[in-house]
Amino acid sequence: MTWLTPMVGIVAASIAASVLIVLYLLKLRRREVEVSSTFLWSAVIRDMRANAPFQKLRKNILLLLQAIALALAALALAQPGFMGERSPAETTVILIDHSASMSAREPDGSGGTPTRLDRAKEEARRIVKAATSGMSFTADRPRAMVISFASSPTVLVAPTSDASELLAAIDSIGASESMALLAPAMQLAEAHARDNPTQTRIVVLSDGAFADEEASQAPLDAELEYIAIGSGTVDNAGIVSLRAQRSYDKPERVTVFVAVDANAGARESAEIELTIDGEIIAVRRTPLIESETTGARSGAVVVQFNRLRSAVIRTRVLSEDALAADDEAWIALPPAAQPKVTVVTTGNPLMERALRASAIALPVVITPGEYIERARRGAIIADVVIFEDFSPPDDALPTGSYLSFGPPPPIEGIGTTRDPDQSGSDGSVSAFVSWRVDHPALEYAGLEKVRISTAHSFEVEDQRDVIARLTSGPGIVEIDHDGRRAICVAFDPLDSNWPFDRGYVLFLATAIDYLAGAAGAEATTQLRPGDTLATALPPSARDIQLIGPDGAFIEPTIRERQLTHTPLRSRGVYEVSWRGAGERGDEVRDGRVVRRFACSSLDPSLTALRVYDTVDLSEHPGGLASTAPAQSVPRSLRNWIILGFLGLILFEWYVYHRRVEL
Amino acid sequence: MFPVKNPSRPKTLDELIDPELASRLTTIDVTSRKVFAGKVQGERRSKKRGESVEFADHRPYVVGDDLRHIDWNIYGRLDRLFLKLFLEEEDLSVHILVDASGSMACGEPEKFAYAQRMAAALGYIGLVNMNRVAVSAIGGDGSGASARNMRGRKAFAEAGRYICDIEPGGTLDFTQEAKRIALSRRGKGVMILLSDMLYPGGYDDGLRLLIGRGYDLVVIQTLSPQEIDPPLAGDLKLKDVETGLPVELTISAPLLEQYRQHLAGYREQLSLFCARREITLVSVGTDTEPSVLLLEYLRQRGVLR
Repeated sequence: MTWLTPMVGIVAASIAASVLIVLYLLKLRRREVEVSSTFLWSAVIRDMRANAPFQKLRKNILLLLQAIALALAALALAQPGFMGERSPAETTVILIDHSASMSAREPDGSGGTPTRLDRAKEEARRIVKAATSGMSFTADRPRAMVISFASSPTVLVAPTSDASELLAAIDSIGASESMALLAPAMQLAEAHARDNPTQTRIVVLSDGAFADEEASQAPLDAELEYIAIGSGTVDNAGIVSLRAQRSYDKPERVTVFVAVDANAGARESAEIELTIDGEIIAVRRTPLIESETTGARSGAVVVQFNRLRSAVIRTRVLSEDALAADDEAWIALPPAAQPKVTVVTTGNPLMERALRASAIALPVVITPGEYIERARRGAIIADVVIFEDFSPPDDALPTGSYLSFGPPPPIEGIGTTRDPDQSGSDGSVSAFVSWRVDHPALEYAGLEKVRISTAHSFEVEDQRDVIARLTSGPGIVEIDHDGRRAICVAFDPLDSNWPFDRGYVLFLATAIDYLAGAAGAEATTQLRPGDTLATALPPSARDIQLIGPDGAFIEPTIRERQLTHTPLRSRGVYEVSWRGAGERGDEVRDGRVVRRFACSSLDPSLTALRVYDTVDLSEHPGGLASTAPAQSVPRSLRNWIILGFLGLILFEWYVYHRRVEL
Repeated sequence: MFPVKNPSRPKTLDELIDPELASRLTTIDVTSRKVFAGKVQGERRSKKRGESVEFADHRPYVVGDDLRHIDWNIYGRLDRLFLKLFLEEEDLSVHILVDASGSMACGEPEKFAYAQRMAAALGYIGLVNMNRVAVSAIGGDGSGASARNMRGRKAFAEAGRYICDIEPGGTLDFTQEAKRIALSRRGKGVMILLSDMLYPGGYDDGLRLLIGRGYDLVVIQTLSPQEIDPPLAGDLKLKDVETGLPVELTISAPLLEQYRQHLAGYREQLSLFCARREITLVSVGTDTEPSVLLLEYLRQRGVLR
C-alpha cells in the first residue's frame, strides 16, 4: 500500500471528525406536536427496538455511518494505491500499418476478400468503440488517437473522446505502397504517451512485416499490444529483383534480369511480361523452384535486346494474386553513351593506345597549350580530362572530372612539396605498399607489380583521400572539392613499368568509368516507395518539372541546384525535366532535358506476405507477442474509495429515513 | 389525536341532544342482563319480591307476615297457611361516567364533545324510562363532581346542565377514579363508561373495580379518526397532552403501520378483557353518527332495547 498524500488525509480526517461531532451534537430540531396520548407510540418504539437487530449499534448507527463516510473521504485524499494489474487505459494509441503488404487480399471466410488494411481498420473501429464507451471515474473520458504508418507515421487524429472523429480518421486511411517502419511510429506514439505512460495503451495493428533494421523502441510503462492482421496463407508472386545492364563492349546490347519470388503457395511457374517504353518485347515463363531453406519458390528471367537510347523497362507478373504492389517493376535505362575523354599530353602513344584498347572511350588528344586555351573559352566538352605530366593553371580547371598523372591539378586539399623525387638516383625504386582494394578504380589495377623510378611527393590535407600509398608517400589520391573531382597519380606512367602491365589498361578503364559515371550515377538508381528522390541539376537548368507515374505534376523541392521529393508514394517512373544543358545519361526530348527515375517495390519480404506473430521491440526481450502481456503497475484506489463514500452517504440517507429514534 | 383549539362542544340542551333524535330515543330503554333491586318502584321486574300484580312464588307463613298476602285458596285445600309472593317492579340505576381527562379534548370531531352527546342521550333514555340516573365526570377539572339521583324527564335539564358544564383537562388516574366511583355508588345497576380507554397506567384494575358489586358495565370507547389513522410525517417530537412526556421519532410508513398494528392489538386486548368479565365493549370513532351508535350498535349489543 502506498500513500501519495498522507498528510492531506490526516489533516482532512481531523477537521472532518471535529465538524461531524459538533453537527451531531447540535442535531436537528424537531417539530413539536401535542397528541392525546404517547403511550401507544412509546410502545411502538419499544416494540421496533426489541425486534430490530444490533440494538446498541442502532442507537448510534447514523453517527457510525457518517464517521465511516468521513474516514473514507479522508482516505481518498491520502490517495492510497497498490501494485496491481492495469486498469483500462485512459488513452489508447492505435497504430495502423498501411504499408504495401497491408494491401494483400485474403479470404475472410465469408466469401469476401478484404485487404489486410480493411481488416485492420475494422479491428481499429472495434477498439475505438470499446475504448471510448468505457466509464471513467476521472473527469476525462477515455480517449484514443489514430496514427497511420508506413515508411513514415502520420497522426490522423490527436487524442480525443469523439468516437465519430476517430472512426472518420480510420475510414480515411488509404493504402500506401511504401514499406513499413515501426520505429518512427513507436517514437511518435511514445511522444504522446509520455505525459501519462501508465494510463496509455499502444495497439499496433499490422502484419508485422517491418523493414526496420534496428529494433523499435517502445516506452516500458505504456501497455503494448500487437494485433497480427492477416493469415499469411494466400498465394502471391512478385518481382523481387530487376536489373538492366549494357554490354561492356557492345553498349547497345542490354541484358535485363528479372527475379520472381512466390510465397509458399502451390504456384509452379510464373509468366513475366517485359515492356520497353510501353512496347511489349517479351513474355517469358519461368519455373518456380522451391528453396530448401526458406520454402519460398523463386525463378528468374533473362531478356536481351538492343537499345542505344534511354528507355523505361517495365516488367509484370501475368497472373492474379493476393498483392498487386509487387507484380510490376520498372527500371530507367540510361542511354548507351560512352564517356567523352580528353587527353592532355605532350605525347604519349601508350596512353592513347591503352584508351583505345579499353574500348570505352574515344579520346580527344590535345596539347597543354590547346587545353588551356579551350578551357579558358569553356570549350572543353569531356566527361573526363586526363592530364599527363601537366598541371593546368587554376583558371583553366573548370568543374568536372580529372585523371592526372604526375603533378596534381590545382585543387584544394592536394599539392606537392618538391620536385619529382628521383627515386632511381640512389638506385632505389618506389613501389605501392598499400591501397584500397575496394576502390572501384583500383579493383583490377595490379599495383603490386608496379615499380616507379620517379614520383612526385604529394602533400594531402586529409589522409583519407589517399587510396594507394607508395613507399615514398601518397601514390594515388582521390580528391573532390568545389565540383572538381580528380584521381591523381603521383607519377608519369612512363616513369614506371605500369604501361606494360594489363593492369594499366584496366585502371584507365575503371578510373574513367568511375569518374564519368559519377555524373549520372543516379540515372540507374532503383528507388523504393517511401524513398527520397534527389538529383543534382546543372547550373543552367530552368523551367524544372517533376512528373509522377500518374502523369500529374508534382511540386518538388529545389535548393542549391538539388531537386528533392520525398517520400515517393507511388510505384512507377518519375520524370524530371528542364530546359538548358543536360549531363551524361540525360535524354533530350522536345527541347527539354529528361532524367527518369524508377520506383518499384522489389522486396522479397513483401512478396512473401508473411504475418508475424511477434514484433521485435528492444525494450521487450523476445519480442512483443500478438497478445498483450500482463504487467504490474501502480494503481490508485482513490476513485473506488470516493465511490464507497458516495454509496455510504446514500445508505446513511436511507437509514436516516428508516430509523425510529436518534 | 390533536388537542382542539376551539372545540364545538354543546352549550345548550338542544345542542346536547338533537330533538329529532330525542323523540326517537323515547321508544327505547336501557337494559341489563341482570334485574336489579331499586330503591323505589320502577318500571322493571326485580328479584326482590314486591307488590306488583305479577305472581312470583309461595312461601310458608311466619309470624309477623302481612295477613293480606295469605293465599286463602291453598289454606282451604291444604289447611296450611302460605303466603303469596309477587314480583315487585323497581327502578334501574343508570350511572354514566364521562372521561374528562385532557386526552378526551382531542380529535376532530372532538372525543369529549362526542362523549358529552352520548352521555346526554343515554341519560335521556334512562330518565324517560324512569330509571335513576347519575352522571359523573372522571379525571379532568371536574373530577369528583357528579349529578345523582335524577329521575323522570324533568331531570334531564339538570343532567344536561351538568354535562355541559364539564370541562375536560388534566390527567386521569383511571384506577383511582374507578376506586372512588366504586366506593361511592350505592345499589346496583348499569354503569356506562364513555372514554378513549387510553390510560398509560392500564385499564385492568379500574374496570375490575367498576364491575365489582354486581354492576353491569358498558364501556363505549371513543377514538378520533386521527388516532385510528394518524396524519403524521417527518421528524416530530410528540408531546402527551396529559402527562407532557415527549417522544421523539421520525414518522415513516413502516412506523405508521406499526402504530396501526399496535392500536389494533390494544383494542383486541381490551375486547378480550371485557368479554371475559361480561363487560359490554363498544368501540366507535367520533365520526360515527350518534344515532347509528344508539339505535344500531348499542341495540345490537343489547345495551338498549
